[in-house]
Amino acid sequence: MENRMDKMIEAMKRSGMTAGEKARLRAELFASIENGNWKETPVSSPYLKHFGVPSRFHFSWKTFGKIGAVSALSLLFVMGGLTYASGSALPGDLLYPIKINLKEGIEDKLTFAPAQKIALREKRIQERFTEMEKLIKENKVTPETLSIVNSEIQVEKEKINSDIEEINKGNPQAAEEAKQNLQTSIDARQDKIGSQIKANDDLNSINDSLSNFKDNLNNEYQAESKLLSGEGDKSASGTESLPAMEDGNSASSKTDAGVNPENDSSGSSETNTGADSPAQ
Amino acid sequence: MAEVEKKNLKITLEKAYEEFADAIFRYCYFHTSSREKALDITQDTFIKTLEYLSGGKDIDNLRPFLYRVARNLIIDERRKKKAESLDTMRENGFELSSEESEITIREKVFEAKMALETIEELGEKYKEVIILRFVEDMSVKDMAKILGKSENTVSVRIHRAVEKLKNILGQEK
Repeated sequence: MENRMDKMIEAMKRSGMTAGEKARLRAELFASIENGNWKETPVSSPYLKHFGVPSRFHFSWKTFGKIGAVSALSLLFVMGGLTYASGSALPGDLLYPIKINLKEGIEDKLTFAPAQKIALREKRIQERFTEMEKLIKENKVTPETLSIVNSEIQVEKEKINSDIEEINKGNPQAAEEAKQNLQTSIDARQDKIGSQIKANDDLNSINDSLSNFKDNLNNEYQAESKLLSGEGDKSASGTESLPAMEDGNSASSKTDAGVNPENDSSGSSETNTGADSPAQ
Repeated sequence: MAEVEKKNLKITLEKAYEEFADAIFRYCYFHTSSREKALDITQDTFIKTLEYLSGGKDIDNLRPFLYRVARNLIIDERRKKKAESLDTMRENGFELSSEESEITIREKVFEAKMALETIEELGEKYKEVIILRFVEDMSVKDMAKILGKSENTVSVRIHRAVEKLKNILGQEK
């Protein structure tokens, strides 16, 4: 058997090109080279290799795949980081739209059952209220931020209504119960937030009034100081300018005017006005 | 490309052709069962090698490189169309040079046909290792480079191929 195998192998070894075939092929091969029927491969830069940059003459799916995979991973990390950072964003912040559209959007897509959706929407609305509380605390409540929060709450409420309708088809009693429970928890918190906003508004108006009073007081004090020191325009409003004082009294008069602004009757009436406004 | 470099490339290619053309042809022939196709693939193998070298790249070991290129071209050829059947080959016969005596030619043809028929029964995987190991006298290390397998895998495959070939030859009594 070994003999037969050896014979077969020997036969195969002899099965090469004939002399004629070899010569013909050689002639064709080198004629082809002379005629330029081959692609001269451009020499790629050795420096580019270090950066893993693919030569534009050598497109490779493997390299393209690697670049694509790295890009996709990088994008995933960036989006993940932004989503995580947006968790504490408040209305008016730069990342707030990412929180609403991306993070909460993904949560929506991953929630299927109507009952679960309702629970998620309630959680969202409570989250909006929490954001509102933070804004009040940080004194960042503006008509724009209020509008943003209100519109988001409205959106969630509409979605809740459609979810409740879906539950109603199969179980009207459960739908009614869910509606009642929601109403109770949302209304209670909404009232509380409303009061806080109103109190904040009043507080803001008190602060504004006080600030105005202080500004007016300072202006009047400065005007009076100028008059007393002779810097003011005495000729223009003769009746309003104070009479020139003797040297002995001038210093003490100036001191009184600077230290005790409360002696000015106009200041005290403004204070009273500001204090009365919250009761109104 | 500079003229000097082109000239050097041609010299390299000429040497490689004289040394390896026969072996590459044999390899291609026993895989394609067609002499014409084997000649075409042999020519393409050398052209591809020239293109590779023109890019400024070096080849450490030219022999396994040539076989690797030829193997890839054979695979491409198989994907394009089916290889000619043995029957077709028998019908077409061989186109051999008239420089050799007719008896020698007929003997060669007969032996080649017999070998081809026998080796076809092995299947592609074992046929390949038999050709490379015993017909081309290639080392296991070089075979591993050509086939893209570990040396251990190649050794096991050779052993199994020989066993199967012995069985086939034993049955052809």
